[in-house]
Amino acid sequence: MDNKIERLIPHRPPILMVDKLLHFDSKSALTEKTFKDSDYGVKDGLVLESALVECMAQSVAVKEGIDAEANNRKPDTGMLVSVDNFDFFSSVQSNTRLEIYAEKTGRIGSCIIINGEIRKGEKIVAKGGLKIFIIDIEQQKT
Amino acid sequence: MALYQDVKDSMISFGKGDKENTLTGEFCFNENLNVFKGHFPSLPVLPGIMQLEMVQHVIKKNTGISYKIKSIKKAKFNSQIVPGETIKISLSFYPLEDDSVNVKAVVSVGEKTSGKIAANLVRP
Repeated sequence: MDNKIERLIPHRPPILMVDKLLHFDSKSALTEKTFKDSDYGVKDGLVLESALVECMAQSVAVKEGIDAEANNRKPDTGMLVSVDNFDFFSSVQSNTRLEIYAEKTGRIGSCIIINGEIRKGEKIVAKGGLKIFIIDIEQQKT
Repeated sequence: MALYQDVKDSMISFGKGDKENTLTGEFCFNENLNVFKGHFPSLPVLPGIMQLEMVQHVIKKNTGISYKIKSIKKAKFNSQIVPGETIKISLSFYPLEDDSVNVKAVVSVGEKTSGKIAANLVRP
């Protein structure tokens, strides 16, 4: 696990579902995740489809965390508010290295719009859209 | 503990709905579950993806058939669900010729709708 990830996003085990940041640019992030048999998002040796959705959402959070760090801010907390036309093309076995590409395609107020895909090698195993609502977690607590 | 196990253990009840091809289920997630330590350490809320697993579990308990998600046409998570709240799932399912099912589910807490899901599920 790249400890940097925990600086960039508020998620923690057992639901931390990004291992490493591979690349980023102004709009997108490419991350890596290998689910182990004992991981929270695995059932009978297969990665749950819902965990793949969470993977992509957290990859977006990593990108938001990078932007926050660049501006000397604490990472924001994002809540998944919408999953749109998200397709799963094949099952993913545990211990498979996945690459997750997530690109910000728009923003409406505090809501960011994302499209992305998850690959196993060259093969796309899932792709679709998400909307994440950015909240101020400190304000939520009060 | 695994995600599906948390969902399974947090089910309170399940049953048929009033109309044909409708099902219901109720869940309550205990505040001591590990998932709340990670989502998020200073603000425990139920991850939206758990609602996807709840829908699948309601179908499994009622029909005995395990399905997996083939596609999510639309899932909306309107409000945060916190530990200890009773969550009700009401769903309609429509079997298709290819042996998959289309599902429309409403997730509510009390009188409030907290989520809506439209998805296609297939047998593994």
